[in-house]
Amino acid sequence: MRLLIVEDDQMLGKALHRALGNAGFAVDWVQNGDDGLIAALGGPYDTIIMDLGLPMLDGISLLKALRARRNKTPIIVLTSRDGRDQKVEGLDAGADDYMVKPFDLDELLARIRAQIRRRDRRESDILNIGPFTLDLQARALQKEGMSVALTAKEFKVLAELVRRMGRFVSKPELEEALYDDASSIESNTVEVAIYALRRKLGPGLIMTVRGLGYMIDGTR
Amino acid sequence: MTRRPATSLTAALFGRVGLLFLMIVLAVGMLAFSTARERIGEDYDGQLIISANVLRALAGDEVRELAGGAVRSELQIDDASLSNAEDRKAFDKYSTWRMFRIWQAGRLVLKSDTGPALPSPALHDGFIDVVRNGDKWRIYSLSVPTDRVVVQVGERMDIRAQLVTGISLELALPLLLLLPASALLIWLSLNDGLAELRRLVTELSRRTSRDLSPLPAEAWPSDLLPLVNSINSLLRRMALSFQRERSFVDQAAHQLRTPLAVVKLQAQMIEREESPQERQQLIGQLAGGVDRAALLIDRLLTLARLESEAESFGHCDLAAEVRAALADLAFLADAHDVGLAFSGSATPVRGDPALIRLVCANLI
Repeated sequence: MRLLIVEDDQMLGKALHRALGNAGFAVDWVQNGDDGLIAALGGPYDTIIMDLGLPMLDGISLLKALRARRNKTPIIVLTSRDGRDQKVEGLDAGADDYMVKPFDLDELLARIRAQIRRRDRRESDILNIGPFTLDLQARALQKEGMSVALTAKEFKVLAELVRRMGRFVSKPELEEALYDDASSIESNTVEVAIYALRRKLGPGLIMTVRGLGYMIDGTR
Repeated sequence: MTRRPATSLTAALFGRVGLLFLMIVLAVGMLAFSTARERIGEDYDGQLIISANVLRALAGDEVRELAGGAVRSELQIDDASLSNAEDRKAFDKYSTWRMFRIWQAGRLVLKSDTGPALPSPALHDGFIDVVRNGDKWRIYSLSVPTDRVVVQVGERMDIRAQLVTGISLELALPLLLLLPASALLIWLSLNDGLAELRRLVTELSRRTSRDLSPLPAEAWPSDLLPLVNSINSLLRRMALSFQRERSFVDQAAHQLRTPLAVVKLQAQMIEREESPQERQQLIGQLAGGVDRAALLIDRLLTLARLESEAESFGHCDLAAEVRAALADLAFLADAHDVGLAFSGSATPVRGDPALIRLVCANLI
């Protein structure tokens, strides 16, 4: 799950980047409105978290520009503007959610998950794949009540496949979910993760079709 | 010396106006009294002169005939008694306070029963005042030098005093009645006149502490306008000050939110970080975040101070402050091998010297 942070404040941007990264998201961080527009259009992102008081293109203009280009990425505004009129303006400009600084990290994470759930048209963060239960919130996999240990990368790859169950997910798309601007891509990471997942979940769960990518068949 | 507690403006004005009115009433009364006394004195003296002349005309021949006889107390003209019983009675009615004497060649020839015993008068006209047995008499002497006759007519002075007192009382009574009525009128007028002031007080006291809208300027009498204008000016300044304070608080809250968000986020990250090394690093960042918030608070406080002091800026020399700022930075510049130079002459500007120095230091 990939997030974009548009925040001009160095310390907050850095801390957010780290906190959201720790929560299992691949996070990109840009520091002005122009870069925000370019990054968001270049996406795809599962959610954008943005400030309103931004240098260059300001937050409200960025929101309007994205919505004008039919970009449907969920956007959470994270700002110090707490006036009722300002909230109305932000939401009307195209934001899906509005949080006033200082915010609670758990609440922000819950709101991000809520936006992603809506984007995925899911009603829960707990997903069932045959005998397995994947908890996106707790970042845990269970098989018939027993915990199955996964590495962070394995979890990210599995979550991405489960979220798009029944559809093929290409290798670059999985790489997008794994890596953010803070890390460098290694060529065989996805393959290593898929190999490990097949070993832990059983060989038949993840299909591979050369040229299309990987898929978990939801009908099974 | 302690100041008396403030009394009611109405009562104070009433006291002064009332005192003034009382003084006017007293002055009018005294003037009326003295005028009445003077006029009555003149009139009564005139009557005495007339009486003396009438008496002399009536008794002229009689007196000559009586010159050798005994003293009588009634007049006869051609053997008919001039003062018959009826006249006598009429005279007696006033007899206690009137008198007459007719002297001929120093001898008393005719007299009334009343009046004080008098020495033989000199042969000339004029008034004398005589006190006998506690009664004061005013006596006019009319001389007829050809017959060596002196006619004296007199009356007791207290009859005049009674009259003066009577007239004075008749004048004083309406004045005394006028006094409370006027006091009431003055009191009502003052109350009415000060009603606008009370309305102003009510208008102001009815306001809530946050209502700083100016008083309507046209709704007051011209005497109160300077006061209303002063109050409005004060209200304007207070409103401006409140507005500044509010905008500062707004701005401060806004400016502080981001650093606080950083601090809170860092704290929550520390809470959930398991690796001791990572925790240590996060704690370092948290301290940085707190420092930054503290710095921002300092700046906001400086800004608040600036806003409140903006009106009291003095004059200072820009060149001197630049030199001072350079001097402050010289050590730092030297440490980094940076050369600092300044050229310029004294330039007076309006502002706070310390802040100007701070601005220069930031620019350098």
